[in-house]
Amino acid sequence: MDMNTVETVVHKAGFGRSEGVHDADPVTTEILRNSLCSAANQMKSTLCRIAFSPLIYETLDFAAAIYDEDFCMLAQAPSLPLFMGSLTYCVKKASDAVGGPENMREGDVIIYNWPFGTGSHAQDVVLVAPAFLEEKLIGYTAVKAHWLDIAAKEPYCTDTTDVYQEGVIFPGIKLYDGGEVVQDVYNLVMANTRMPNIIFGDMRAQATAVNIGARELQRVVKRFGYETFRTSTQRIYDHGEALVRRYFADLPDGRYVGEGCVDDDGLSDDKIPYQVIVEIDGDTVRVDYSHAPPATRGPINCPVPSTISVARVAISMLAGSGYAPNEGHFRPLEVITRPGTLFHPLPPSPSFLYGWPALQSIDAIYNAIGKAKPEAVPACSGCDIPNVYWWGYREKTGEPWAHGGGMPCGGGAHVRGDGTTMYHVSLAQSRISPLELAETKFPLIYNRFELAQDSCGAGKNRGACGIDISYHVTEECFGTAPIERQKTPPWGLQGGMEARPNSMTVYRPGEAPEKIGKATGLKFPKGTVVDLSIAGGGGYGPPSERTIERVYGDIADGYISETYARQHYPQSISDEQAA
Amino acid sequence: MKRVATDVGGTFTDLVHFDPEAAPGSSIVCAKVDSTPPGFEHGVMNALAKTQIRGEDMDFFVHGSTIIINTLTERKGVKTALITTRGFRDVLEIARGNRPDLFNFRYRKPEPLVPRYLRREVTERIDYKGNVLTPLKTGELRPLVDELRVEGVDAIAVCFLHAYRNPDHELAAVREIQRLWPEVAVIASHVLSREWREYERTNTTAAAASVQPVAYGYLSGLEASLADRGFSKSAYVMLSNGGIDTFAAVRNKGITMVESGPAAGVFGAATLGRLTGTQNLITLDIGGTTAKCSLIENGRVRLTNKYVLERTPRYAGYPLLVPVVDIVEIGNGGGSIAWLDDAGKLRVGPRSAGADPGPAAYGRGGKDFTTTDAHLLTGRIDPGHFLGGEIKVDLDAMNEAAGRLCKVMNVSREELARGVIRIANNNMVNALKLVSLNRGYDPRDFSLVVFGGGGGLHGTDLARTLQIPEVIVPVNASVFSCWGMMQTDLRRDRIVSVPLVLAVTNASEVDTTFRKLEMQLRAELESDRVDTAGLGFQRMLDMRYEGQEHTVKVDVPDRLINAEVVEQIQEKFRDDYEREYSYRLSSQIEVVNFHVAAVVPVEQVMPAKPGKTGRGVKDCIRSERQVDFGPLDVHRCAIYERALLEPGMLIEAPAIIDEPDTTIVVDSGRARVDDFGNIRIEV
Repeated sequence: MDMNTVETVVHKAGFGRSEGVHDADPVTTEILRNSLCSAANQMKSTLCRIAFSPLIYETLDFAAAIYDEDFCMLAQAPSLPLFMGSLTYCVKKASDAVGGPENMREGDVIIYNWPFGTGSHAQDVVLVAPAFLEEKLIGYTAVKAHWLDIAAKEPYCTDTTDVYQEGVIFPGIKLYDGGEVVQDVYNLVMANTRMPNIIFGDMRAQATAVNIGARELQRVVKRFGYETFRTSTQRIYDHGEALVRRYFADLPDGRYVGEGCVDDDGLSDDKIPYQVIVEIDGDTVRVDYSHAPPATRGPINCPVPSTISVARVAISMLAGSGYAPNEGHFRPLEVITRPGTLFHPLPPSPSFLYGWPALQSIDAIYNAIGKAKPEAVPACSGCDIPNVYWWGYREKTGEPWAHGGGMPCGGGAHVRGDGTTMYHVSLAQSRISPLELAETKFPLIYNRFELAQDSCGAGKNRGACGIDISYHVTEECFGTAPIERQKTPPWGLQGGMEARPNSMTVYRPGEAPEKIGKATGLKFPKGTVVDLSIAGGGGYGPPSERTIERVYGDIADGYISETYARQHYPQSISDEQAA
Repeated sequence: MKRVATDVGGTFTDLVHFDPEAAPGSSIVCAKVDSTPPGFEHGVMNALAKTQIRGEDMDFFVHGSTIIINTLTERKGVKTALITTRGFRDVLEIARGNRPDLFNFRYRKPEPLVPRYLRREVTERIDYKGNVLTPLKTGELRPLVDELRVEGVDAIAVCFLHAYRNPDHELAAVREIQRLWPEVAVIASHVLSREWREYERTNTTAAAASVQPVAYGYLSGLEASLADRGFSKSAYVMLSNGGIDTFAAVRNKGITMVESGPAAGVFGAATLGRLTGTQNLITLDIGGTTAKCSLIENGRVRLTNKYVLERTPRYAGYPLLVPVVDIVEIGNGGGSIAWLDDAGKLRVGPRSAGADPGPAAYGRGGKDFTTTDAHLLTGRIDPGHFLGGEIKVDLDAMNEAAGRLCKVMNVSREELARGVIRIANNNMVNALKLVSLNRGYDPRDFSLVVFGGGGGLHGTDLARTLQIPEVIVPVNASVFSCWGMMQTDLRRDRIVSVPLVLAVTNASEVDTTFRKLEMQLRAELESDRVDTAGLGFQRMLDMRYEGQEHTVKVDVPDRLINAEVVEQIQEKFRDDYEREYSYRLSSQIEVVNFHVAAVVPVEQVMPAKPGKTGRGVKDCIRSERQVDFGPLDVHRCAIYERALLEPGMLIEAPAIIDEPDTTIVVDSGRARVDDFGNIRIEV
């Protein structure tokens, strides 16, 4: 099929429109904004404290937010940015699925996970609660969180060929009806997971969080009165919109092409290059994904809500002046996609690994904006969710276990300084699970966990180092490894150099080492060693401009070797000095 | 027993002397002198000299200080190295990898407390059960120590993986380092914390090592000065866990006094509660830069083992695994600056004008409009008696600072001032909610105790918003912390990670573990020659439903733990959990940490009740003025002089009560002076 014959779709990334000056008291508005943020944070802390899965309480693989009756985002708790941008669509679809507000009442909780509506894989399950004040709908609260298992062909997949292999679908049905659990639905959910003992706790935590959010929203609206609430929130949106418009008005107009490349689709070995075009037009910005290749056979397709989410995240990072974004931030943004492509797949395309192209394309957007204003963006980061997803059955008890969660990578350098080793921007709030905990709970021992010398991209400002992790497997188990960015190293900016890419090698006892890209169902016999080499960040500015003091500092600290310094910073290492 | 408490802050050193045998009215003597950095002990001596207290006037000396936290936040600790398990020297730098400031790709993680070239590795490995996988290669330490000596290191932190479970390798390494280099300060992680989480424990050890020579020098110096003054009895230090301990014990573990001052304040409130029969309190301490709040339920102060130094919503900070009074701190105080963001919205704090230059009204060159300026502009603070008349208000500077904001916002100065106060109040309401509502406590069951320079200015407004029925402004609030310290018991906490399922079948293991910890603590106290008469133990368990991460701390009875007691503990956990999270589960319960506090009680003292002269309340009025009470409108009201108030007096709102260093706003309800001279406002 020639994709170019399919009409493109233009998505407004923010709901509603600016109504100009609102007659709302600025102080009241600020207090209202604060109260809503505090309510969203309360949802988050509730979820973190009572969830059973480390993916929720450590990795923070979730988003929690509050919406008004028009699905405009009022406030969200800092959590997984990639989810934060797509949750709006989930709320609307969940509401539509049950027939809209007239079919909802206080105490309802809707469960929804259709990937083409949530933007995610089916594991990312959304719960939505409507909030009412005196029987009038005033808004919604929602939490989207990653569930450890919902009966996909494997707990984590890299080789699915359609969405139905990826888990059970909840098409937007009531899990709670007027405050009472719908037992049939509950039983159905529990019957469709390999780990009901964890899912039951996480689902409970998620339901509690949305209910607390709804109660808080009700309190806030009651305290300020509905009219004040409405005018003030419009003012909040306008504030966000103004910030972002001002930012883009200052950038030179034009079309900037960002390059990205996915290693492969999990089934074939072919690279999948793509372009994202950023068009700045006055104070409006268009992110155009319509030149993307056709949807792939393997599960790296990114459904539209996440495609929009990525653009939202990239833009809020750049233009939001550090504020948590609200609906207004997204109004100056348009996203263009073409149905049937990598960034706009249609059912039943598989999307289990949608997150990899999604988060990579944030770097592609930066790549484009870097051409308009290099000092506005960082060089490329390690740009992956480097992760081994482990699972198996304990030797002694036969209990099922699973352990996973991304790792930090080297951050790209930027105009103001060196990069920092931390999670990719789209996973900003994630945290490493302590190794001592992991060793206690799972049959794994870490041989090492350290910064990798010479893995950073050289430059006037250098990228951050990647991480080398070596695991020793003490009981037979299985693994899935979705390791991206092995074929295209993280790029530098303004003359900065590229960094070491990712790689993973498995050493099974008595076998030749095996390099792993994307793989499912890896078998790890007892005694296997798994080495994960996580990418560094790209450099910024020519290495020849790095000062001698900083080069020597890096050598003393062992971030770089002397050999590396000779190669990349010859200006610093003269033979006399070396002698 | 004659007692002295001293509290050293960055600016002032406070002293309280209590002599139960002195004549009524003179049993308590207070003094405030300037602090004397860097030799803070001189300030303490100055305070003693000012009050003419000699060594023999003291049977009991207790001391609190911000020296440790200042050393840490100003990065003035000594040059410190870290020795850790081979393969893991970057645990300190990689940290948890998160970036709380998630919309900032330039975010920088907290700089590691030990730079990479001073982080060294030795071969050794212990597993999670405490078994040795690779024995410690002691021989590797000699070349390593030689190198660190050349680098000019003053302190060494030793932290190995799973040392909380088996400290043998750490002990052996410390012994060897001390043998090779007796002069260097060295501290091992297991001495500070027996909890898992390697990043947090390593960071704690690094921080502790970097302040250890400082604490040692400081406390030794103070001890010597006290001896010179003829003091020969027991000297104690106030710790972050809300207890006191001997100079000798704290000297080698200076990090345990990191939150000494705020802990004393919260314990002061608990003491006040005991005295006045108010067992449920929310405390709020509003200083120049921050506001700190905490919650006391049934007289018990909450402790946390998840303290993080310098954390803000946008900065990860430095975790310290030492028990600290559970305090929520926000960047809102009297000096907090009002500002407009990129899109013209009004914000208050967290940046503060501090004490220098201070608010615009100080006239010391401060160009920013602060919360204090807003209080002056609304007439809540008397410009004629600003800081007891010590500072003459610079109205021009204040109006100019206000004018800049007014012009952009297109509002009047009065509207601006009202707005700033409302926003500051709202920030504080959110902090108060974090310690109360968010943990399942109903503020209506509590009294709000306010102290610090700004407590009385904001208390009633906050109480109304949260429906807290009563605000208490303690008598002599500025020496409140000293008062708290004087009544604080000697206390040592030990928290040990021993994960196990809490089941009836495990009763004896639970019992043995507690007893073992108690025996260790007792032995330690005895070897430190602490008088253990009256020694008692508080037992706690950090528990969760199996599979969860976050724990709830539950009190455990101090008696033989059998099947029946285990069932009680399970029930108590489910109750506490339900209060906090609104549901209960029948799932298995898991214990993560055993927590024992050894407590040697200090005799409680009762201050003499102030006498009455029979003065009428009208005689306490100093003046009248126009005050803007914000949402409660503008009123002409009476200004009372607190020093003249006597027990039993009633003051109806609206009114202002003035003290030299603080102002109390009574904008609704009425204020009553209780038997001890505390002001209690029913809002």
